[in-house]
Amino acid sequence: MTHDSFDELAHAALDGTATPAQRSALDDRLATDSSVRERWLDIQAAYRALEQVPKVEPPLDLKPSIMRAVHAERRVAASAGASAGVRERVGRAFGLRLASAFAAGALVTVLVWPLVTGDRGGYGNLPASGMMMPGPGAATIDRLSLAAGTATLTIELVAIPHGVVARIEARAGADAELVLDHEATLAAESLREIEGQPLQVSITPGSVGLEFAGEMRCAVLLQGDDASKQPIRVTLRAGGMTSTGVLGQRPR
Amino acid sequence: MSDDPELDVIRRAQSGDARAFEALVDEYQGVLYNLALRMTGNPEDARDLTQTVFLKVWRNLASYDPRHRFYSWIYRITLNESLNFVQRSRPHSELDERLPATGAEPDDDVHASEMCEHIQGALMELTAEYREVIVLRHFQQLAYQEIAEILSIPEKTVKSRLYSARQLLGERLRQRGITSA
Repeated sequence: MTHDSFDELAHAALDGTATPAQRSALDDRLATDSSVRERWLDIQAAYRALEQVPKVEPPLDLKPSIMRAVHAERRVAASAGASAGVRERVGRAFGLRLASAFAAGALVTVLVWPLVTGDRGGYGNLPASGMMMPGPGAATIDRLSLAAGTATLTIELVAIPHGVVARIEARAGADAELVLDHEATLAAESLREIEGQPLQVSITPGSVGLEFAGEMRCAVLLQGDDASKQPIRVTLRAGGMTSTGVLGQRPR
Repeated sequence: MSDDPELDVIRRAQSGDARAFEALVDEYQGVLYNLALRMTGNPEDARDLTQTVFLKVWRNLASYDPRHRFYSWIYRITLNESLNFVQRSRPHSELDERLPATGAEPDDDVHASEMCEHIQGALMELTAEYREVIVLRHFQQLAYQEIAEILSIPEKTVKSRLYSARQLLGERLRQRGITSA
């Protein structure tokens, strides 16, 4: 004789763990108590249905994609370690090229960069409303808004002499990733953090990656001839969702 | 060296060995993908979630405490990510149509595929609390005690949730014309 509840008997029977006494008690209940029969049929249906659902093989590109992301993280972690504490990060892999370009770029940076980024009041003191205001002589080429998961992004592309500046306003409720893929003829020369800062920055040839959470306002300077005619592919990832768009001239 | 080969792999991965981490991806990508798939009902979301989970695992490996079981830790991360995703995601009614198709199928396979869609649809109608115990028990074949460890709840609670979840799932399936008969 068992005093187990009907639930315990039924689920033990279907789990295959019922003792003979429990099995017999279940049979008795089903034979004498019509109120539990429908429940029994429902539970049985659930068990049988669940047994029919096959395991699904993960997509073939899943592992390569994971490992690419992991290797990118390692590179980012290594470069972040090398430049820890530096608020304005310059693509160190391009150090030599940057040094040679510095003389030409200095004029651009001094005269144009504050206007384009809105950084008129000194670093860290920028009024929020000034961030997206085009400065004189800076022509807005394109603007794009994306959303993925809890992240939203507005990015504005502004032309400057011998380059473009991507002005970014982004917000994310959790970890998010923003990637700007650009032509290799462009060079990501610097990142200006205006409010909030990326958790991690990755600058590699043809790509700028920013990881962030919360609010982030920054500007990325890309230099190169005909920069304003080059498309920039923007990818926003957050919470397992991905959103993409293209800034500038779209690929033909 | 420890007696547990997996722990050795984890320790190597903790020290930044990407090859060791790759071995963990090999070992767990299938189960985590299926876990995310059954929690979200959508293959693309499951793929993205699985990638997100592994990245989180990579970033947080240093905080993993080897006194606990590794799979409990990564299952918990996967469930959290899936639940967060589902909470801010689309209405469940859209999910049925996005289940994995298995290509051109003969009639039996079409029937099986439709059945799977109904079952996943019914599963998505359950609360996340009920869905997770069903998924862990029936798709991951975990014991009650293992589920209790992953969800940090008493084994007794696992059982009672599972009883209710199966009952509700059976009712939902009956409403869809699927019975045990």
